[in-house]
Amino acid sequence: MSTTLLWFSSVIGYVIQTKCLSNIQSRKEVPVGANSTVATPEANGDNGNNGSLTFYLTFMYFASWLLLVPASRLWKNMRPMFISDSESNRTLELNGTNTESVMDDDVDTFSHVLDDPQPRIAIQQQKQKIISVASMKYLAKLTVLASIMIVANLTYNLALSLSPAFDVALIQNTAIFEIVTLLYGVCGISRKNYVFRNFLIMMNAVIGILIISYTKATCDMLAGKLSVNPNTGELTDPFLFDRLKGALICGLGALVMGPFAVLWNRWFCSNISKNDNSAVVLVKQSTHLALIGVIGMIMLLPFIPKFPSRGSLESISLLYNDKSFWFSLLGAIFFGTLPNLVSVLELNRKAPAEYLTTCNLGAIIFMGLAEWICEPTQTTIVRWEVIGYIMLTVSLLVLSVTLGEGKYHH
Amino acid sequence: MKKELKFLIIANVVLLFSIIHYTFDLLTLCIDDASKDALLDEELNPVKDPNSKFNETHPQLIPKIIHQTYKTENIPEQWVKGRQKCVDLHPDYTYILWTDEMAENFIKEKYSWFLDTFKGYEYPIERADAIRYFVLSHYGGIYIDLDDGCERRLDSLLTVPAFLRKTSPTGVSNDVMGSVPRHPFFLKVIKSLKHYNKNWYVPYMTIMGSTGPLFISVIWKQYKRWSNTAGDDAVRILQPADYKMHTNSFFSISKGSSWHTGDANFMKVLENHILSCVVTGFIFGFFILYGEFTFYSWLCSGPFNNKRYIIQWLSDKLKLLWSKIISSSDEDLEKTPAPLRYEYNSKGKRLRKDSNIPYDSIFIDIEKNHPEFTDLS
Repeated sequence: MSTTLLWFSSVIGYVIQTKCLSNIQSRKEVPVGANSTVATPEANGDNGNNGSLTFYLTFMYFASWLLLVPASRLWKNMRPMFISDSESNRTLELNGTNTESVMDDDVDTFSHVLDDPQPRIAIQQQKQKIISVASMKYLAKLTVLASIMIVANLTYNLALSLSPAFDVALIQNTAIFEIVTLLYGVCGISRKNYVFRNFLIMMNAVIGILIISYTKATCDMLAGKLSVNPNTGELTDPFLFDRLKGALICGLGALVMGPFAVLWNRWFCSNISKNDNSAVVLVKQSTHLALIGVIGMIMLLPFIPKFPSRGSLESISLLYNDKSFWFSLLGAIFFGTLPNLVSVLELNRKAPAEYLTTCNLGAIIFMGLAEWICEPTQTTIVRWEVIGYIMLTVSLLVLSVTLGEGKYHH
Repeated sequence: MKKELKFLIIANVVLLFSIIHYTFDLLTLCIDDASKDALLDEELNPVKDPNSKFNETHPQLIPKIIHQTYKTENIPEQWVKGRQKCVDLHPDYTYILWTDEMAENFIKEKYSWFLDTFKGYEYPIERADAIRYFVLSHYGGIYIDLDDGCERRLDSLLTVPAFLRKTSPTGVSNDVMGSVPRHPFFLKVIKSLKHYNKNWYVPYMTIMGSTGPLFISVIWKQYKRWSNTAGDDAVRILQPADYKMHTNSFFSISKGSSWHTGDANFMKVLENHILSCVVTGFIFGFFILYGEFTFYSWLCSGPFNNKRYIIQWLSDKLKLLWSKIISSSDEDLEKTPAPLRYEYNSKGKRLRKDSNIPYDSIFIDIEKNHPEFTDLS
């Protein structure tokens, strides 16, 4: 599958995930009962309030990572349908007689636990010895990554409960783009070609983002979503503090994605060679992520305030009883999280590591488009907003070309 | 890891910690919604319910004094109505309007150690801010800005030892405050005024940070962190709904902020575009850090990676400067161009792609047929 298609899949997946989760977080009333009476989840005790919902959604997000292993195996089986004949021939040539390596034996979880290349016999011995130094190291690595992801996801979900989806997407992607670009450069993961030129293009992109964020408030005012009190000159927005808090929490929380990206590349991508079968690599990396998801869920368990129990129906949140809650959540997982993660893993392998940062810029543009599509009657566009989007798009295209140079395909 | 990179990282970490250290109170303000100290509805609007624990009459701790400030006794038209309403609603209260003259005399008489700072304030509003803290600490009572008109009696606010008003988006404001005499919070406030008297070069920031709402918010956070805030030392917070524009609000607001200038209006514009403010912060950080990285990459990749080259470059620059100084008195010498080292012309790069000769060796390309060295004609 081409990197362009993967790029679009990753970006659109993120947009769907964010819109669905925001939809869940912004629900204040849910229909209950046969006559569709309306109830407020907050009024139903502490089980359905925003704090517990944030933890609950983060937990569900990690749970969805368990689906990555079957999804990547499915992807592996469906892959011949997506790749072109030339790519397919090349893959066959690479695999040669070792076609069996694609089979389940090599996709076994513990075969890649040990990152150091060792003789097969040693690996077999390690397999038998589950509690070994290497396994503990591997577990420690996964725990570190899971801790980082908990911070990033909690802040993301918390911000979605405080701010509109577009604001969250904008600040989160800006923060991730900046920190990952910076740390990749400093840690020597990205190439040091045309650093100054790329710096100028990136500054052009972030200034475009700044223009978009500034004109967004103007557009909201023009569209009637916000208004200014003529007597005091202040914004008549009871959620102003929430917006500020949401933007700060999300932006600062997203910064931990920088160390995550660096550690992931160092620990789980540095030993991948061109000759490795891409399907096997994808399944291996999906297994890493699934295990991170398990550890994340275990770490979150003490913070889950209450689980609905069968014996006490009255304590079950109204929100969880609502069908549209589960519809949005499953939509976020199957059409958002999974395509996004699989595409990100594939892109990270197929293209240079720094190429993935262009997805963050793309997510902002596509989030704006999604807003415009979802709320056509409530969207007002001003000239400077268009200029901001043009600046961002041009920078994105240039960066895609320069950062994507030298990518290799299987 | 290269030494330069280590220095870069250490410098940035030190910078980050310094910023956190100096802005710690502001950062903690962002996550404090003051709900723990909020004045409850039952306290402010006690109901005649026999089961309510707030039913019994609370003793009134704060003295019945209303303080207001203005430069003279001639109050502008738009505030007269609100002020009169406060007076009419509280005939049993003592009302004091502190003019500039009264304020200065009071400070001179009671707090002479502060007189120099008080007189030295650049903006009159800073003096108006400062005097309200002193009179509350000295006499106790309730301070009300002139643009705040009373909507109901303030008796229920007198039942707490001290109170401030929560402001948006964060922190507390100094437009409505109340206190018993010599409350530890206000004692801390008046002690801190000297320390926070700094010029931030932007009038709005100077006023806010030295005596205004930002100053009082920071002191409030420090007080909560380091002092015992229970019982008689507590500072309770009046919530926005109890302040104005609601059924049971105590005050109504008329056009105020007489001290606001252009920069204050700019601040309001920023507040209206709160997301872009956060984005600006992130972009600024990225610009600084990635700029440093770009500069570092340039240093590593360019001729500056060579110590010998840097020393030579510096000494040549000094020679060039010296020759310019000498030649300024000698016109003939001025006409002669200063000699440049050959490697600067070649920008420190190899002269030819197929050449292995290091760039810092003086190399005359014989193919260019230099007349001083060879003649190939």
